[in-house]
Amino acid sequence: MRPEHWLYSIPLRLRSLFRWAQADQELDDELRDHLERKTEEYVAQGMTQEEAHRRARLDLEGFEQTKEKCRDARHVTWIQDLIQDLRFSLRMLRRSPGFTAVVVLTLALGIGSTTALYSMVEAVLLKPLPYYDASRLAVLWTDNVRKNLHQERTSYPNFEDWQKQNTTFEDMAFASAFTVNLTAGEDPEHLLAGRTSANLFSLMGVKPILGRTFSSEEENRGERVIVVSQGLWQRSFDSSRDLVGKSLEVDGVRMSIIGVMPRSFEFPARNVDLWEPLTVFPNWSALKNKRNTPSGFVVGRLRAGVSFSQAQADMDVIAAHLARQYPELAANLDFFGFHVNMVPFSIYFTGRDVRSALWLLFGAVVLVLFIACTNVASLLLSRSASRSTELATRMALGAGRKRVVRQLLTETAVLYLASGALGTALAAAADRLLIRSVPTDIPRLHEAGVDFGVLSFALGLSFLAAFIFGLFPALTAPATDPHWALKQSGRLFSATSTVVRLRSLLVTGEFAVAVILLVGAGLLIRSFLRVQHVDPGFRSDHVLTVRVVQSKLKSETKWRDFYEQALRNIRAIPGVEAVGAIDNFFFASFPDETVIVEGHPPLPPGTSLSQVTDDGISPGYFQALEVPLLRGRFFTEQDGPTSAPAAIINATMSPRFWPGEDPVGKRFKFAYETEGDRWITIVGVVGDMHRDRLTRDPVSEIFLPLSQHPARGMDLVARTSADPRSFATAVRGAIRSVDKTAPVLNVSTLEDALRDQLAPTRFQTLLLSLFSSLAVLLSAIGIYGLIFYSVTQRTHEIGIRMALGARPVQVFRLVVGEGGRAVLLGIAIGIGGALSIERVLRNELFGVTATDPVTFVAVTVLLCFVAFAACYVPACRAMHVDPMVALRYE
Amino acid sequence: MSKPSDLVQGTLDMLLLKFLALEPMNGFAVSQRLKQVSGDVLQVSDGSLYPALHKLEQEGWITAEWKTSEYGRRAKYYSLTRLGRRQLEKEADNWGRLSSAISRVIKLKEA
Repeated sequence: MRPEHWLYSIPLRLRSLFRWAQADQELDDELRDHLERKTEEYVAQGMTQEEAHRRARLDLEGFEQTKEKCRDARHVTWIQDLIQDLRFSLRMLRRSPGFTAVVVLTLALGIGSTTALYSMVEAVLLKPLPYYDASRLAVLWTDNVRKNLHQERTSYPNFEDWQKQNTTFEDMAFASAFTVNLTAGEDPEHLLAGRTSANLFSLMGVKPILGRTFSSEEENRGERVIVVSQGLWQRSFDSSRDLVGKSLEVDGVRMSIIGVMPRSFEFPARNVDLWEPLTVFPNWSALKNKRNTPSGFVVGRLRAGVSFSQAQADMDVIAAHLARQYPELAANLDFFGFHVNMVPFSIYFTGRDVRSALWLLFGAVVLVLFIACTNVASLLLSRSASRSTELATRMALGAGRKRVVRQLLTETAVLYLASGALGTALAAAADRLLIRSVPTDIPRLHEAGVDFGVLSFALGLSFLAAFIFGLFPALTAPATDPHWALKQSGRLFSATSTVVRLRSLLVTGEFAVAVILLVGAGLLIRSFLRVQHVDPGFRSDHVLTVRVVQSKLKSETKWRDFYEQALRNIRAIPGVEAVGAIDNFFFASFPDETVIVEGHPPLPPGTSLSQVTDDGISPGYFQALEVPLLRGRFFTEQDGPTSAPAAIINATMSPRFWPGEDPVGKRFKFAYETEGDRWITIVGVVGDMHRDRLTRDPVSEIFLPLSQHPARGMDLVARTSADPRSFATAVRGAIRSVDKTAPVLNVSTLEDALRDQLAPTRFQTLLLSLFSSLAVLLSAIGIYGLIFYSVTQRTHEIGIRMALGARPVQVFRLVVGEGGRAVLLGIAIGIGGALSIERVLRNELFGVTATDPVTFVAVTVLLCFVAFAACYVPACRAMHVDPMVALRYE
Repeated sequence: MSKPSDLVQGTLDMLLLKFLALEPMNGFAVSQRLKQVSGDVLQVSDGSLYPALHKLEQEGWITAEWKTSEYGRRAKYYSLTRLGRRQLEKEADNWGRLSSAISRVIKLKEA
């Protein structure tokens, strides 16, 4: 129909519908008017008044019938039917408040949790990113194939060649994230800064909310200009409109502010607070020509219509070309290589872990919803069976089968929609709770909430579920022959057995799904317990950790003096038993250094075995953490800047590099030190520490004395005699007394820091356990309901059997048998299904296999027990049926 | 909705549209006019007329309003809408083509 057509007909239809009474009155008036005129005409022709009236009515073919035809012509009857059905449904539901409450609560829980999870999935994964046409954005990593490191930074000369030679990208930008200090004030603020090429902003398609961004001319001239984040603007400048032109002192350099970027612009890192031109790097002139120094990472915008695989192919060609152009670099085992690894920006932005965790939880919650819906379908099934007399009466009075099915479906839809509304309210509350309790910083999670998309999802979900799970109870109901149904006056043995069969089927499905959820949760719990029992290799109690990053001091000697003095001051605090420092307590990247061992052929490159990490530590570090010394000695004050280069290695490294030898006294050097002959002597071997994650195997580690390898930033650890938190102020003061501009960050206890590492896993495990408990509870209700129903319906039959001599045990077997078989079948199917979820869970597990027999047996036993307990109560009732009462019943 | 069996399907709609194109009138007048114009050839009962009018109104081809007639009586008057006029042209066209085609067939000489 044409739109203009709707213009006329829709208001008319709405009128017919909502001003039904008025429209009907008008119809009545119109026809009455007609009748009067017609009568007058006939009277004029010479008929008596009565005769004329009769003729007029006859001509009209029945007053009411014609009215009905006119109403039909207005096409609104189906809506009126619907309204009638709705009224009737509400009346039915009000009449059995218990049933309604159970169903609505069950469904609201299911729909609510699914909607809550969906709102997170939508906010984090589905909503478009706040960048122009983000589907065409890609992050281009250097792929260090040789060392198995696939997301490495890129050197600036390589970036320039990519930019010039590619044919598939509109543009590419270069960026790196750096920590800087705002040094003007009394209390220096520690911030994350992006150092970027000028085209980053236009490439991402984000405009400043105030002022402008820097140009490539400004970048090339090396001007001291910065763009600040909306957050910093509000925090430090009170959102003042005349910010542009003011300046900030960053790491001791005055930079003039030219613009403000919106909060949504979180690149090259989350929570980045200012953007500077690349040329701000103090060593930029050297950096920009060093092809073997990775200094930043690259983001590109694909040309319209170019696919990721085309672009990857393009970059592969460029990589091969560069490798030919620089053969000596390509041959260098220590060089990171020319390979390019392209990652869609959305995946880079959210992170693969978050993606898989969210989908996993969403999948779990959909399974819970499935069980909830199954339970409700099961309830509806017995309800429509118990209403068969009513339905048969309606059919006998002329209601079509379709009409009855529609009536039943409407009732189901009303139930589901009411539950959907309640569920959405629950979801809104759950969202706020979940967002607050999610322990990690998930990008855009705080945006999750009940919005239009989520509402449509909840509505669609309710309707879909109502249709799927409401249709077959509705279809089975009117299948009975009305004559027969009426004669049986409600006691339909055959109908009962059909219902029991169908409900058993549903119970089977519920238990199958419950097994899958429970196995998943069980595996995660077992894995989590394993993680918690991993010995970290150091004593984590009574340890305070703080991070200090120097900004004003520029030389290595000054750094060393600063940290040595700070450590001495902390040691002097009463109650501090030991103190130490390391440049990074936890490392997140893979070990990437290679060493040459004196007198040994080099280990084959490119394996994790041949790669090591190196860290500078202070002499007291191992003592403060109580790391055991296995051989040789710890560092002492004698390992000074001018004494012989010394190193301590960990237990893992020793047999890999010196198999069957005592490494103490042996020498090695770093592969990157190509010039010079700086051999380092090993003075000791210490026990392994889990400094990465507890779930990872220890890697080869080399520790060097702080005095010989000073660093700008360090993690300080202090072992205290009492609660380490109470020492925070004193430690901060001890550091400030050396340099009042040194920012003291991340003050925490080591135990808390370790707990934080496990928090995401704990949270995921907790949620999944919650969902599976819900699943078990709902399944138990399902089997309970089934047995209860079957016992109630068969009281008469049981009475006869007992009167004929059946023993209680036989009755018990009879009643429980069918449900029991359904449960066992469900568990068997579920185990089969759970064996195939290995693929989903493999990466989440530690120390247990996805086919862990303990978990599977425990789940089976638990579910059998739950099912038995749920059957027991109604089955007992069956055993105690008094034959006399049962037989007299009706 | 039942249709008068002796009218080609859809023709009643066209006739009604045509009457209302001449002047707005109420249902009773339409029924009188039908009888006058076509004599007894087109028998449209009152029972079919009103549902047909309501259908046309629902389609947006005619519109109705309550007016007081010259004899001081309130009655529902139907008139043609712009859409209705277009529909009438279309149906008249169709009808012309159909009837001339049928005439041609009927006039074929028998061998």
